[in-house]
Amino acid sequence: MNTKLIRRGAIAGLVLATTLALSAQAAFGATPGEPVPTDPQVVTETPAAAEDAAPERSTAAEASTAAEESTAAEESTAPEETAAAEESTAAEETSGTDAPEDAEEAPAPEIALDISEISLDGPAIAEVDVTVVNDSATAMRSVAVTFEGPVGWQVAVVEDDLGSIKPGTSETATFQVRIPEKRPGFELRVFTAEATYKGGDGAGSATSSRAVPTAAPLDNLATAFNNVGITSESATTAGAFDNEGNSFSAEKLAAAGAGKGAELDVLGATLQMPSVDPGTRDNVAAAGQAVRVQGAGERLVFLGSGSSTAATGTVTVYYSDGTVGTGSIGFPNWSFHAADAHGAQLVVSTNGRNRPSGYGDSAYQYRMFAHSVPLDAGKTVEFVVLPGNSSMHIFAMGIAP
Amino acid sequence: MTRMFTSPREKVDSTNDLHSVASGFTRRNLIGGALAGVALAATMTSGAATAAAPLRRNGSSSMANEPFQPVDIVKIGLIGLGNRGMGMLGSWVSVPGAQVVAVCDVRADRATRAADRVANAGKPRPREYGGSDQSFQKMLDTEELDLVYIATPWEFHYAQGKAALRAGAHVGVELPIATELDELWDLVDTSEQTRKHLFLMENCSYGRNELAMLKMAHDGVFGDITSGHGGYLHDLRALLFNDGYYTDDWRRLWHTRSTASFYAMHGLAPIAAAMDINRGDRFTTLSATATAAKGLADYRERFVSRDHRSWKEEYINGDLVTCMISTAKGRVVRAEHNVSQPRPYSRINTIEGSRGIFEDYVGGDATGARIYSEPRHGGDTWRGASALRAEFDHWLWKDLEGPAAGGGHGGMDYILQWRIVQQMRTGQVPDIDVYDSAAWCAPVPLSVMSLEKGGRPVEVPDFTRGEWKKLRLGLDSVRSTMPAVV
Ligand SMILES: NC(=O)c1ccc[n+]([C@@H]2O[C@H](COP(=O)([O-])OP(=O)(O)OC[C@H]3O[C@@H](n4cnc5c(N)ncnc54)[C@H](O)[C@@H]3O)[C@@H](O)[C@H]2O)c1
Repeated sequence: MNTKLIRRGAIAGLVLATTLALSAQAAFGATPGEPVPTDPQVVTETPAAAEDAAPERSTAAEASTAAEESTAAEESTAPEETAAAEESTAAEETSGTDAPEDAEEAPAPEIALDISEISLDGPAIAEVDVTVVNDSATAMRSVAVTFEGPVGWQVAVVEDDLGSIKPGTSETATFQVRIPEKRPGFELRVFTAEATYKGGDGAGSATSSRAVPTAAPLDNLATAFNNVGITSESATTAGAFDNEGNSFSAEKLAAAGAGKGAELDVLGATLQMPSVDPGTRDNVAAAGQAVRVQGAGERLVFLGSGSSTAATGTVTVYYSDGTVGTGSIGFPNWSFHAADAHGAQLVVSTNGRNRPSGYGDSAYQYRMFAHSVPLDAGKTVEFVVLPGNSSMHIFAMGIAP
Repeated sequence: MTRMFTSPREKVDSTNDLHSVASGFTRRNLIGGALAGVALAATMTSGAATAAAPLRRNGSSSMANEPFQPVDIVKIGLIGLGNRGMGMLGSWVSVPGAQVVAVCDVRADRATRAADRVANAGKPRPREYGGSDQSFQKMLDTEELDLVYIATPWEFHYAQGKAALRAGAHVGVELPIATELDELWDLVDTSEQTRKHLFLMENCSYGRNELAMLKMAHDGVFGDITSGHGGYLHDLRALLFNDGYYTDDWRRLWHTRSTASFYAMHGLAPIAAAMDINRGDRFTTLSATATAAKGLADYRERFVSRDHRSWKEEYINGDLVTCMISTAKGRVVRAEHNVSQPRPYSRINTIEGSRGIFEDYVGGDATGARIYSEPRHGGDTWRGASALRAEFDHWLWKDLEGPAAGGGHGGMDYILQWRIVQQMRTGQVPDIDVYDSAAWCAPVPLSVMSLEKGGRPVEVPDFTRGEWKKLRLGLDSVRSTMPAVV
């Protein structure tokens, strides 16, 4: 698990306020016709960074982009994994320390950047203020600010040259950003500002980012169910686990101890099989959905199976303290694939499967697996963003204490 | 929408409306004509100064982000009732809140025919103007018009557009709005002075693929956009030699006068929109190449009888004229024009960036387009554009697919006309303004200038006089409705 370091800057109140807003976001969006409150936003502050520090980009958001299709070929390029790798590098570069907990306790930086709130209600041209606060004892000179949105988003400068900033004061740069039409689904749009300067704390540059979610996370995994993976042998046609309409047999799963609502001890967690009738939506074909999971523990465990041999991807974990972590999971194909492929562990194996024409293929095994991502000790999970890979089917998830 | 070469909805700039040739009139001589050499020399001497914007006229200011003054009913006057003018008439009559009050063509019988059509549709009969090449001025002097639509041959657009602005109307001009740099500047200045909008009637900016491509670009589907490619590749040979199709052979005669990218706007404008040209970026330099002119002479040799008047003509415009345009943000645009060789139709519509690419007219799927975008796709294999086009469908298409169906050019003509009327009735900022129009048409004179310099880059003027640095919404607009007609 790679944890991106987030440090509270001089504007710590803002971080707390926005984190709280994020916690409260389940409260909105439920009642049609009600005014939609402003988006909860996450502000992350990084300490004055080394000159070559890569500005943070929206890798988490990218990783969560819905996968339109999935084939083995696609997965071999696994853009999500690249994004995750990039992210971990960026996190290391900006933190300058291995232990995030230590960083949490570090003193507030003397130079801080505050990015104003950004509404994602597009199409629109938004004005964004970036306030540079000089809490150092020395004047800042030649202060220049740059601002970036998600990749491909047009930004224009209104005012980026702030000149000098006296100790204890602040100056504000202004940018325009083109906000595209809001799309359905969860995305985290990340905006980054960087100031370069002389004087001040002597670090030469400081960065800050604001992550704005496009939607509230779903309340639980069941709310995200979008695929029928289990049917009864007496009514198989609703099945859609793979592209040919095949599915697990509810009867065979029950016989193996994994019937409707059954509790399974998996990788230290107690996971519950979907409490829904056969032939109804019972799993999530992963497409970057954001789902609430609250709690703390050692790892986040997933029960699932692949409808391709490339059912892998990145899980992004958002903690209640505003930090973000990522980890990779993968499930073997439900049949004809090594049971430990992608590092998974076999949980349940059934004989045969339901085809649109009825139960069959009884000579073969159709299986579900477990995989997990480690969690940061002492942190409380707020929500996770599932991988963007629709051949990855997730039936249950939970935290192993 | 399928993109089939044979579909008349798909090919822009051809209708089935044939007319007989009426007697001629004096044609203003612009780039070409007998004085072609002189015109070129004049353009060249002024060429060095193209980059510097002339001083803004006294008391005028930018028209960027300037909303229309709302009107309940948009009173429209039409100038030019040939193939295009008559083709657009139906929607000017049917779009809610539009009223055609005056019609004008140098050929008076065409004005009468147009007025008949309006009356037959159950609308008040518009007044007719015709019989002289100055009839349009009489119409402008007499009528109180909110909007003038100009669909005459290219050589008249500038003078008629300027006159309409001066008469206090907003003006929609068919492609191009003008063919010389000083004329483009004059239209910009006149729009700023009169506070009236003048805009290119760029229907292709409203194509369903083009608008979805625009929205994808803004969403970041292609990452940071680095290049684009568009154009107008349309085998017009049969129409160019079709007696009576283009009145007075006007379009063929342009090929005897000048070597220029006459008409790349249909493919250039959507690329410019996706790159936010004049809305955050701008065209800076243009260099052109032209192939030999073979297509029209070859066609004539094979298909046109020896006693046809075209045998007195010499075709000099290169069959394929290509403009490479650089932008302030380091992007590159390739704009092509070829109407004189056998080839299936294409406006190209290609946009590419750090995360993906969109290509139109390649038969990807029912949309005719294909796409590749990370992290959605992998394996470097094309996907048909249907899924993403549906996801990024523009509200104009979602809302107007029904009424637009069966309309000209696959419905985009209707959408363009509906949107203009809607913006005028609701007091919105036009999607396309005089600066966009001037930038998209500037390759006409600039290609001449670059070719004269052996293809060296020439500077593209900043018609916005610095306003391009500010972001503005443009075609990726916010959904809004058409007010009911009381
Ligand atoms: N946007 C498109 O898809 C599209 C399609 C077709 C044509 N066009 C453009 O429309 C314009 C007209 O093309 P067309 O094919 O209809 O040509 P056309 O020859 O069929 O029609 C031109 C008309 O203008 C009239 N005219 C000429 N001088 C005039 C004057 N001084 N006053 C009034 N009327 C005058 C002619 O009598 C004729 O009826 C051109 O700019 C062409 O490029 C655009």
